[in-house]
Amino acid sequence: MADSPILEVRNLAKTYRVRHSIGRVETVRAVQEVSFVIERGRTLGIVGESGSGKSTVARCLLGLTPPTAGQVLLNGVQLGGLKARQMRPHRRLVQMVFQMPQASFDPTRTVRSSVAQPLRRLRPDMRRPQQDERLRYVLAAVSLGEELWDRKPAALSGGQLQRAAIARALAPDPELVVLDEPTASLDLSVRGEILTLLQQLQEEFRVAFVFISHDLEAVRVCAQEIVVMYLGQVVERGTVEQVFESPAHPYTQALIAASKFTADSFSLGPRGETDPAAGCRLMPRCPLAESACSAEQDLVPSGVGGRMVRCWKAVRGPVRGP
Amino acid sequence: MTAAPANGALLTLSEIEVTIHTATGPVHPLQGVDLEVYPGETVGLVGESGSGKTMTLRSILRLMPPGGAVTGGAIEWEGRPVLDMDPDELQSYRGADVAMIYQNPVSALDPMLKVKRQIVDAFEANRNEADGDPEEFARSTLRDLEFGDPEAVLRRYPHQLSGGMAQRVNIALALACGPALILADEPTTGLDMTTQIRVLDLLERQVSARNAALLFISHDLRAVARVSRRIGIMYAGRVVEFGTRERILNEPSHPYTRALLECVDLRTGERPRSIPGLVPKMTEVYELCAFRDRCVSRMEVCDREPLPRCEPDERNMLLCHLGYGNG
Repeated sequence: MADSPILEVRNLAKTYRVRHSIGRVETVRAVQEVSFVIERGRTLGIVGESGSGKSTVARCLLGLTPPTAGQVLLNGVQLGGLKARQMRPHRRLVQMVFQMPQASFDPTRTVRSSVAQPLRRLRPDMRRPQQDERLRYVLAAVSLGEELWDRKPAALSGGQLQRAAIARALAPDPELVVLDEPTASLDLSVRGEILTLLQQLQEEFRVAFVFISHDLEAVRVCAQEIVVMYLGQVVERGTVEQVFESPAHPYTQALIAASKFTADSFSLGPRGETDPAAGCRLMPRCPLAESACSAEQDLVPSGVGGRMVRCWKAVRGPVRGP
Repeated sequence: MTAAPANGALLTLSEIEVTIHTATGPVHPLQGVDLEVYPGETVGLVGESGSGKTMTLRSILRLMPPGGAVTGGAIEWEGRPVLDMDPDELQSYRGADVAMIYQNPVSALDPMLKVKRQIVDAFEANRNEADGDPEEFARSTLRDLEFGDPEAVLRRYPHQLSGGMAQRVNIALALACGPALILADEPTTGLDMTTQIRVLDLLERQVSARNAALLFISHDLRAVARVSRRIGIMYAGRVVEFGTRERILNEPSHPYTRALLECVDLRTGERPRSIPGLVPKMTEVYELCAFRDRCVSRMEVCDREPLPRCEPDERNMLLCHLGYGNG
């Protein structure tokens, strides 16, 4: 039997109203029509530049932000519209690891006390000794030296603290962990160690990950499926092999070229002062743009294997930059 | 006029040591940094956090944190000892000779002043009338830095700029001082990859268009390699290997350099690499190699003898018992 998806996102949209000066209210469409599915024990990577809507999607998955439209289904249960009390049993199922480990720990508490908190809150079904046992188990699982458990966050390095943050997320036994740029604030010398740890933990805990990052290399190592976002829209979606080995959308190609840091093979123009609200959002920056791009683009299947692309040129045939 | 230094270097750091006195005892972030920057060249320094990169830049400008001081070695600017400069000399050295670009682009700008005021102030404080009109300089520099509408940017406050825009304004500020050397402290670390590359390329192009030199530091070897012709690798308060970009990237000699290169390169199907162990505590002074606890090539001599210095010529240097040609 195929695994049922742990999480399903259908046509998720989030619109913010931003008040500027007197009377002027701007509507920002942070996320539009985002759909994806995550299966048990798998990793979905979400990549894109800042402002692409990655973090807004993460907030909606955690139920921290109510979506403007669309649905988030966790184990088949729709999260939107649940009252706080009804939400409680679902809270433990989705946990989060934040970008800056130093900022996500209470500086006055010991690491052990911070990691224990979600257990105490979200696992009322466990007795105190069981919770303590679970706490030791997760701290050991992330290979955090026991001598550090009763230290304050300031005594730990960035990599050690990120291990503690991962232990904290795993403590209440979630089915999905959202990792928001988990390696961005770390030295490159510890990035590999955190990525390896995540792979090991995924097998051990059979947990699904949403891996949000602008570091495409890191996502490539960890994820099986990739969603590429630009200005709130999914522009390409596919397996890691599809997206990395034959990126279809010009934006994906540009991101991959940028992640290698050496090639100028495909570079986008600078982002303008205002972003287009209709048609292809990338058009002003895309070296391949032509007049037909100003029509609204749909996310449509491209080639075989379920890859989806939002670019009429890429759907017609492979596009390559100058 | 001062006599030109014997080696023709713009900036020379010899055996720089820095000690900071803290409530919990002394810390030694720099333990003998050697570095030369020649006119018009781009030099990069790479290292993990705590390796002493930022402290090296701060020592060059004599901007020490509270309780901190340069306790050993010499810094020479065009042959003049920087550590002996009086306040007036220091004032003209900072800015007009050596300008700095900081890591956080928004907090490096004055939130109360518009972009135009800040660039004009930097220009007027460091240049004279013969250098032209400050406002015209601001406009043309922003145009060089690929701002589509420089006039509109000049009228903005820092909070109205995106990260990439703010960092380009910081580059304009550094250029406004007309320095012979620009120090850049992780200038692109918080930015998107696509923006990073663009800002790095603009920085490199504008620095070389003005015949200035660049000393660029980052923990990201990829960013350093993008802008630097020569690269130094820092570890525990020392530069442990120095060489041309090609030599460092293709024929690294120090085991630490090799380990760093492996961390950068994530290959499909292979376990991502990392460097096991921790950066050593800088509360200690290291007489022997500080990397040996994490080193895969550790030998018996490493635990016994201080580091030998291999310097085949004046542009390459290695601090390691293995020596060159061991790979």
